[in-house]
Amino acid sequence: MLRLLTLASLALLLPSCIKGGGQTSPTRDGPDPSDIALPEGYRIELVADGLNFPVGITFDDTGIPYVVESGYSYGEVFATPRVLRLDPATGDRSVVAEGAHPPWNGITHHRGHFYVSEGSQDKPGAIVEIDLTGEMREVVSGLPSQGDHHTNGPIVGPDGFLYFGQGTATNSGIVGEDNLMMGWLPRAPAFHDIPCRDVTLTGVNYESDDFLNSNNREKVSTGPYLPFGTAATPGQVIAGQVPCTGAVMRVQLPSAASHTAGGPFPVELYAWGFRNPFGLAFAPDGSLYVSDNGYDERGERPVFGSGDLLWKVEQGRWYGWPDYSGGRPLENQRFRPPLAELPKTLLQNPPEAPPLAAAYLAVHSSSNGMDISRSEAFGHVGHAFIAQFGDMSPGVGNVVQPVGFKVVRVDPARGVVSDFAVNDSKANGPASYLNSGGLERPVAARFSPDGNTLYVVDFGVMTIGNDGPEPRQNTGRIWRIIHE
Amino acid sequence: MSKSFVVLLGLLAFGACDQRRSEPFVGERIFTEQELRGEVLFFRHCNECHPQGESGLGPSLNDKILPDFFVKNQVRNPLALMPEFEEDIISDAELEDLVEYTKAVKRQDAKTPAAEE
Repeated sequence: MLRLLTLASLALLLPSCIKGGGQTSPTRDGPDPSDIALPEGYRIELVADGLNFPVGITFDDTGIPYVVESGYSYGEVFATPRVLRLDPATGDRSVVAEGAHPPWNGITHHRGHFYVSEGSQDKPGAIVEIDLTGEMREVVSGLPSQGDHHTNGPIVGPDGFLYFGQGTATNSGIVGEDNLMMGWLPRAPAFHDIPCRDVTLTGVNYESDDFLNSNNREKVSTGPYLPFGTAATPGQVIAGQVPCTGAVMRVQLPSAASHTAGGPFPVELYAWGFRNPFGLAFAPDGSLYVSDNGYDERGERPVFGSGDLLWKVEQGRWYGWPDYSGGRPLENQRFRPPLAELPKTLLQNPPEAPPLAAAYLAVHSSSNGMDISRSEAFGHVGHAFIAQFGDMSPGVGNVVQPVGFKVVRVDPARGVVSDFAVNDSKANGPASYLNSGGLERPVAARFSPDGNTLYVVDFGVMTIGNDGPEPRQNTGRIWRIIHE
Repeated sequence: MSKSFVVLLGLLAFGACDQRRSEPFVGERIFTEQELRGEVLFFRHCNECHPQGESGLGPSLNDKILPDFFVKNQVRNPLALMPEFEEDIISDAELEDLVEYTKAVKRQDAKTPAAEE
């Protein structure tokens, strides 16, 4: 009763305040670095403007930056995925490679080749190797990336392995109406999450309308790790396999001497139980850190109040999806949505007790691409710099004020989060919300090879309309931050 | 109960405009040992919904003058949608540290680094 009374009162008192950063009309000014606040001693400048859905950046051996344009955005807007060579002085760009299977979600450079994560909406995902002439081949194939979240990363570790993340197909394990809204369920009606190891189900199912058959007036039941409309039974074992969803995986790249031989190469599981492990970075001590997007308040099994996470990743561990958030079980009142039931536990015996996160980031902040400082000249060595794309409210759940839309610095040893590059305004939000020339939706942050400059990839304008995301093409920007 | 409820709703309604107190706005922040302990607790338990004390999923905290007892009561017996934090999650001593940290953040004025105060 008190809960309902509270909700009713809040609804009356706060209607004008409950607004995400995408709930606006895009009226931002031209780029203006002075609209962005930074800690004392740091300066930000614009490198390039007018990019089409840029999502990642890397550098060749001479320090020249290369940007990857996704070719796809939520909102079901498709374009051509591209790798662009960027002149760091003028922002001029030239095309290195074009793909046919968007989205291209991330890029890294290693020994004269680019490696691009190809999420792909029309075929299984892949890691594509591209040489400087634009020649391409798949070094990893068959990734389960046609769902809500795609293939992320990649990066090359100090051990020479190529590491990448694979997001989950669903928000919290159940294929349902939210996946219809995302656009992929009609394209891939049999698609669902895949565990990396065997899991035993509790037999919990969620009922919904039959979204794939409008002639069917009966409700259908859907269980976790199963196709839409397929119910689970208590004690049912779902066989694990690799590649899987919600995981960090890796592949041993061929040696320089045998580089052109073979492929695709066998995939190894590194760690699992993530939701959308978007950003991957190695710290100077060799530790792997991963940014992970928390659950949304959407679909048949919505979860309330689950923040994004920064994990320090240990090989072989399970990190809690679909029953935990940051080491805390979801079947707890704190994760109960205001107008829905408590999320029920899906796994009969969790693979292990998941660890606590290295840092707990804002709910719906979309903490995405990141890097870790290794330069005394830049400062904060060992700290993570994470690009926060910003909320996609109300589709993922409501917020009181816009969340994210900035770059934060995280001290992983203490879990403390600090604004690093943020729009200079009385309240938080993207430039289009604030009518400024500042940051819109930062999606990746990557240090230059010498570690002295932090490049920030700004995806561009994406508002949220009544029917979901409304991305604006050719509004992406690249910024760079220097310690003076 | 009903009086606290009304007070809380009033605070939520009239205090929902952020007052930004992160490093780009106030300079490097200097804390006592106790406040530093509270800072770690804040980012472990509070930051997801009140990012750096600003509004997010929950209302802003760093623009409100709240008495200690009210903050402690809200942590132990929350109103609205905030989760309850019992003593096995945040001990009484830790709650003191947490309250001191939130007060220290509010003392830092925009464009006035704490070190100069």
